[in-house]
Amino acid sequence: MPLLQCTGIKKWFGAVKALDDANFSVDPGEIRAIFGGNGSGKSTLAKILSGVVRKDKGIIKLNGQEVVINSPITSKRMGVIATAQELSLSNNLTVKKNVVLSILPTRYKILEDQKMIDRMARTALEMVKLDSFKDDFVADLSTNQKYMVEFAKALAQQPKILILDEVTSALFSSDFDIIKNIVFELARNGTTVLFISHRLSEIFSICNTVTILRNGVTVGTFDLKEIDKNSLLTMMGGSEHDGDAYAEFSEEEDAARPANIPVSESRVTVSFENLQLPSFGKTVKLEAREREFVGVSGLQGQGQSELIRTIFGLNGEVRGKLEEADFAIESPAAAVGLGFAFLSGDREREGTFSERSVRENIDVVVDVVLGRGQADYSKLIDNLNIALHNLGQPIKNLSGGNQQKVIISRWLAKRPKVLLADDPSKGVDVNARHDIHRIIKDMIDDGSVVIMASSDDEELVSICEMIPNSRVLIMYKGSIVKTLRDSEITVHNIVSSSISAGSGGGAV
Amino acid sequence: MVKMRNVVKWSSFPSLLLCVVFVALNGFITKGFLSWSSMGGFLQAIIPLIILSIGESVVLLGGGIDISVGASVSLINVILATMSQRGTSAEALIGIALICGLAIGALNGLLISIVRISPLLVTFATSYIISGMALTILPTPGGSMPDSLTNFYLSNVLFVIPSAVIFLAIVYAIWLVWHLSPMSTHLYATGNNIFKAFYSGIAVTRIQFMTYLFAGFASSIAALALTSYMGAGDARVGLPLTLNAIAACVIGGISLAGGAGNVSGAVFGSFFLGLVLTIILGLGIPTYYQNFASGLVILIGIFTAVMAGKKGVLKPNR
Repeated sequence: MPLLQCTGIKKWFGAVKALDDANFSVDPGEIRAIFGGNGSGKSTLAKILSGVVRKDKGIIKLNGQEVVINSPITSKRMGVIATAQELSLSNNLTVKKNVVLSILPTRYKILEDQKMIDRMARTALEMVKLDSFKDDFVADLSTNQKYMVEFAKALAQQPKILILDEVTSALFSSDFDIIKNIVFELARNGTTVLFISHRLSEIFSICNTVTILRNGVTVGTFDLKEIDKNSLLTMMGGSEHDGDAYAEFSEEEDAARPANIPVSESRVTVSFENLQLPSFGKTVKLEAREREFVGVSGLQGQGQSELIRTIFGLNGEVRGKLEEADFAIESPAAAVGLGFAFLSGDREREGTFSERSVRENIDVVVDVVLGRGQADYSKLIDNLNIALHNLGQPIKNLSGGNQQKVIISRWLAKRPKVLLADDPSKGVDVNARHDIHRIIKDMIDDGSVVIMASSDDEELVSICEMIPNSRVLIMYKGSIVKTLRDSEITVHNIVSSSISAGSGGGAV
Repeated sequence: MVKMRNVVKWSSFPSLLLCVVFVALNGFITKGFLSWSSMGGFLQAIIPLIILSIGESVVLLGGGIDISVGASVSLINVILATMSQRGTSAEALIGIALICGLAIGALNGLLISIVRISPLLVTFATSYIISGMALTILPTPGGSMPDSLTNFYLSNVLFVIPSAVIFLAIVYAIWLVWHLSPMSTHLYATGNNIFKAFYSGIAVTRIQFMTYLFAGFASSIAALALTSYMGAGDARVGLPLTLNAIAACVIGGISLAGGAGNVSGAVFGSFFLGLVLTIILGLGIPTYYQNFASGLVILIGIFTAVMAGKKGVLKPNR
């Protein structure tokens, strides 16, 4: 009898579908990989099982009995323990208290038992070889140590089902070996492990079986001995597959090969010799030509969004060339003055002035910042297909997609030379997404350059199909490791280059 | 040496330093300040604020804020003063004060932790309701307090310790039980990041609720102390207390963002605020300039203490 069985799990976040139909079951002692592209629903599945998020529909059975998981407290009581991709550690507490935070021991039922905390935490921390740090504060640890502590925290809770959500993505290979041995040991003792990772090499070295997710639907479950990397990638990438071999390459190789020179010989609109990405300590060389679309992809958090933001002046001084003239900018205000435009996926924080009217939200760039008078609203609204009652209504009453279109129109009114977009269609429904893609195409036809990061690989592919002059850059740890052009731009290639960058380069 | 370093890095250290320096200053400026009887009088005056700050500090540590504590003191104060005039016994008055304080705390806690409305809005609204009720009950200052309570508050235990300290000890003891239980770790984790605490399986709703309940409890004891000290009721008595309590916490090194600081800092912080007032009075500054002068002294005091504290933190290997 399977230990855990999930049938027809569905989850929507507003208009966005995260899980559509997830079905799988695992046996005791099995090490199962959950594999899929960005936004395929892996983490949502982990969050539903650990009680952080509630499912909309579907049945979860533990030991053949249907269970209701409505908070982390209930899931932990059932022995379902998950590590959090964004860490669940408290920076203001010591390492040892964090390790036993979910199971703090007591004396006389009321007093916190400090000796017991020490002993329990030491046992778990010795397993991950961090016992010497037990009295330090979590804030003082390095990132990879924090993930090891997160893992130790899950171990201390003696899981029956252990869910590891991207816990290895920040780890050194020596750390991974430690985790691997512990996971094997747990599985021998009957613990089921669900292992979520982007790194294929890790999956093949640690797991017995794999469940593949695509767009929130489980494609199927396979024995890893009977399947190779290529067919795994094909199934997660969908139908588009040009039969390319699964190419491994490293960062060194890239340094020798100029990564991003466009095929076309048209005029260079914007170029950067040394674009510094502060949190990676790397510099990137980048140029984009007239009427070109540059997509930026890679595994989550490899510097895609930082690249976009750095160009817009959000990380200090930037030097480059715009239409053959040298420029140096230190702030977004200067960038806007030169003709850069910025579109953020986080509309609430960085896009809309949510309480203000649609009209004011359109006016903010051209009229308020640049002082060039009001825009032709009706033309903008009609062209962009924005659904609204009137211009005076607060922008927060529009749907996410319509809000994003209003924000684009604020830039359109002054015809930007370079549009920088950081995951602009995050949380936007399918139709509005198509509208946004069409607007991007129109802007490029008018001579603009668009540099856009997206966590949705299919989106980049479909935009590139519309635009003759397009490239997709793959980033890994703050460097551009590969450039895909023309027929190379497929979901399969984007995913396989992103992942092979990770396994080829190893953890740094 | 290591111990010394720990004391200097302690978040309450700057406020402790301020207290020591200002007690010494007061000794020079105010004649006879360092005598037992004068210190006792000072404690009797400042202990209601200290108690209130302890309640506020627990709320702040949990990542919330309660701006209704002063209004609660006003309401309980006028209820005690009017009921005492009608001959209610001291024991019954203590019970009534506790019930009122806990009810207000429970209402705040319910709206904030379960209904999930912003703490600032909830306690802003309840503070208006509460002070409105206080004004209705006692529009002009008056009323009384049983002699047994007043005399007790102004007396000494064991001939030397002011009885007022007992009020403080009760509240601090309850905090101490909390502090030694796992709920203290849960409180700090919740204040640091409520989502991460939730992920970790901590009952964050209950922790938040308990902080407001504790603040309500502290308000009732503070009101009992203050009414015993004044011997009368005044619906406006609590107005300045809210901001004083929050300021005392911040001076004591408790972060308004939650999860950082020590409750002892709130004690030192309110002690310091009391000392400043004594200095201003001791200097004989004219009434009109007193607020101006005490603001200035507080600013200079905090600035130097924070600088001293920062140096202490920065020195060891960072």
